[in-house]
Amino acid sequence: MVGQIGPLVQVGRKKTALAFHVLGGVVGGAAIGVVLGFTGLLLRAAIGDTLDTVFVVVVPAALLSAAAVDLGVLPVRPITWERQTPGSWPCSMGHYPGIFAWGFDLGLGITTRIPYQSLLVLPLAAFLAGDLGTAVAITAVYGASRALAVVAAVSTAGDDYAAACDAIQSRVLPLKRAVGATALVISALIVIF
Amino acid sequence: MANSARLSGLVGLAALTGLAAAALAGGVAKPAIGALPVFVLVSLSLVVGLSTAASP
Repeated sequence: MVGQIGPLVQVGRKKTALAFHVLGGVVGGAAIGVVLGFTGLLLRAAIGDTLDTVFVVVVPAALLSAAAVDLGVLPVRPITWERQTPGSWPCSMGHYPGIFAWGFDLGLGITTRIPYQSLLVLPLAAFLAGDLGTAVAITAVYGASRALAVVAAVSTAGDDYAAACDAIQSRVLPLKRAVGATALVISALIVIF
Repeated sequence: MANSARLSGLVGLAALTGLAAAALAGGVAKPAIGALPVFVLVSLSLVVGLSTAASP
């Protein structure tokens, strides 16, 4: 995304373009949060407080499993798909709408390649929380932080986006382990508290 | 140096925003699962989101 959006923000006003990207990320995250939160509410209406027990069992178990894959402890094929945000959107939709749509698409979290298995636990947790506010908070923060990470990378890259991409790619494995370790700690925290 | 400072600032801003969202969702909405699970899950969202900039 840095390699795609970086050169594009040189075309228009850089800060406006990046703001559209962040807005897209927040809206995308919030949108999927509303869907998951609402379906979670329906599930809570159907099974009542049993959902809280399901949450405390399923979410930590999923986090443990995802953490094991992200840390490289569990040698199974990660769940992912090959779809990426279409590079043609800024051409077909227009400059700023295209950049907004990229943010929206990435903010959804589950429509593009899954870099970390721990990411898959977020929509699961948002659904099983059975609470609209919680679901939106979980997914909107994901969308916002993912977009802000792109903004941070583009802002610090200068004009050398290829070098920025290389630098990011060299950190993918340590980042994956950091995410896995975080998921492990959070799994323990949910069980303990 | 200026770039590192800007990067740290943006990451810090994201972290503050995320934690504020967690506090709002956990404190105001009083979710059935409890405030702490909401807080830690929003923190995980933050970590995963910020770590995913390299993804296409």
